[in-house]
Amino acid sequence: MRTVADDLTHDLVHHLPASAVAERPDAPAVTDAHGTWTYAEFDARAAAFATWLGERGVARGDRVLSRIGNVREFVAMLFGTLRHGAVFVPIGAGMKAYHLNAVLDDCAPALVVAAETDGGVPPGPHVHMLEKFWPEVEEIALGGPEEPEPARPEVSPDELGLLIYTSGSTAAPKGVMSPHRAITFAAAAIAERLRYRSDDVVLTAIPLSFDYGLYQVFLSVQAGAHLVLSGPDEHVRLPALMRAHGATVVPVVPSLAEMLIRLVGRGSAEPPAVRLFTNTGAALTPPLAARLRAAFPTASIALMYGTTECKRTTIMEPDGDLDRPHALGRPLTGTRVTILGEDGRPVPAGETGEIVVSGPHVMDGYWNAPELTAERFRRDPETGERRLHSGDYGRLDADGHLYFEGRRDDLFKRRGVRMSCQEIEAAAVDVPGVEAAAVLPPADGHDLTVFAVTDLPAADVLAGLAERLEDAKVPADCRPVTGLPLTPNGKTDKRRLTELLG
Amino acid sequence: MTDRETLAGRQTPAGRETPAGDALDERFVELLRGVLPAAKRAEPITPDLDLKAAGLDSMATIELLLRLENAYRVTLPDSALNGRTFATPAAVWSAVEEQREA
Repeated sequence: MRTVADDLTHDLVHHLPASAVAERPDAPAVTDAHGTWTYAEFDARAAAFATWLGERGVARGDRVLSRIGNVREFVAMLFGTLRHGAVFVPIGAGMKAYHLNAVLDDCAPALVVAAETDGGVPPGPHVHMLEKFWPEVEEIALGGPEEPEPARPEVSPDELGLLIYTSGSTAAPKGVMSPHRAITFAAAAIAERLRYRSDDVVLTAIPLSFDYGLYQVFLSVQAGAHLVLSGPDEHVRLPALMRAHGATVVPVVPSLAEMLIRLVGRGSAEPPAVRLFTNTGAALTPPLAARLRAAFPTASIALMYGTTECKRTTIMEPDGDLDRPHALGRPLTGTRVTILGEDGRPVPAGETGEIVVSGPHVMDGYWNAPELTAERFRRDPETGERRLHSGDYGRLDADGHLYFEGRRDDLFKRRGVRMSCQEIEAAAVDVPGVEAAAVLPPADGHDLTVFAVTDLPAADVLAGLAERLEDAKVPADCRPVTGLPLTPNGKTDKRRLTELLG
Repeated sequence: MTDRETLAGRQTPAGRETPAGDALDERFVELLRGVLPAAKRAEPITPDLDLKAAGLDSMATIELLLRLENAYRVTLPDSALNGRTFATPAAVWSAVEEQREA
């Protein structure tokens, strides 16, 4: 029987586009609002960016932080950084200085790339504006083969390729250390299920700074497909964009699905002929999936589940959700999901416990956070295998399909963005005039709400939070209070707070 | 002619519906206010307000588009569906007006 390992032709991320570059150099590789690069053009720019990094003294293992949107240059910079042996750190343009400064301190990048319009990155000699330096990269790329790429020792598959910052039960985001071998394994294992083809056009409107968006790049280039990038300003014209490029595969979070359904319902034109929607990040509920199918009659839907710490955990076969509502599919081939009970021992099928993941896709832990790493990435006491304790709770059915039930810590998702009560509470008390704060995640009957001990008006607290947090993390409602109710053992009584909302 | 000039033209007493002295159509302002996040609703809606900074994210933009098309019985063409159209209230209003006049 073939395994994912047999399909794993590359264990270095920057080798993923090699087949497409060699076999179909003139096929479109990546398109953004400004145009298209073929595989040959993209490859030349990735090589040129690697050279440019070398000229700037960036060394193997150094971090290169990128804070640009869904543009072609992102893709060239990603592969150029990896070719150079450095570590790519994608950060969303929506991250505010409050968190960005913490990330910059944490990963200490040798070089930062930002967009010229981005006022959020503190200037410095190592900060480069994309619009300013990109002509230099173009010049190197067009200089062509007369300037051979400098010979550099190839990195090992165990070295880090990516640091992906994500929210945890901490005040600041933390970086998930992703080595080449785990990334390439995950990309191959996902491809085995989703089967992106060379004639696919993959429309990526979710941010490339989010691992769901980022992996669309890997999945596309390893299939030789055409990646079409679109930023938030273009969401309003997505159906037109999908028609113009003939999009066949579209990854969606629920909010994006909702937007597409509403936009397609506007006009009288035929809906774009999508063949596959994938979903992860936040669950597409059965009613939303039904509306998406009705709006796009040619499309199948593949539901997936995962977490940045192992990238992808399970994938449901396309349209499998119709027969098994709420199921999230089986573990990736070559990986395992174990459900552990309170006593840390596996529970039988049907019983709920913590979702624990093992396999080659489990990442290396958190950057600069050995304690947090030891807490989440533990050894199986029997086999010694490293396992990811996801903190998510769920169950497996008799056929091995996973069902997600929730979390027991304060991590949650809103609009597909992972966040924690603790990080929002920390940002709230950072607002001058706020003494203490407690956050209620969205639930039946109320959206994300912050209770703040303050004399400030609610609008000022929310404005202060909007300065510090990405939009999705800013509560919909703020209730100024004189004090927070406490439980008998001195913790914030969130049940009491929920009652206050009722 | 810029979008702002278009709007300024609509502010004259000769304007068809916009009352003299009022910067923006009142129904339009209410509609716009309804799609902005609660945290920003206190801010006055001026013709040149930076809508993105005021919290008009992509979901709110689409909500605004649908409400406008419904309220004013127009369909904005694909060519108008871009960031520039939704940059300021003046630009949005100008795109709607263009279709009403068409």
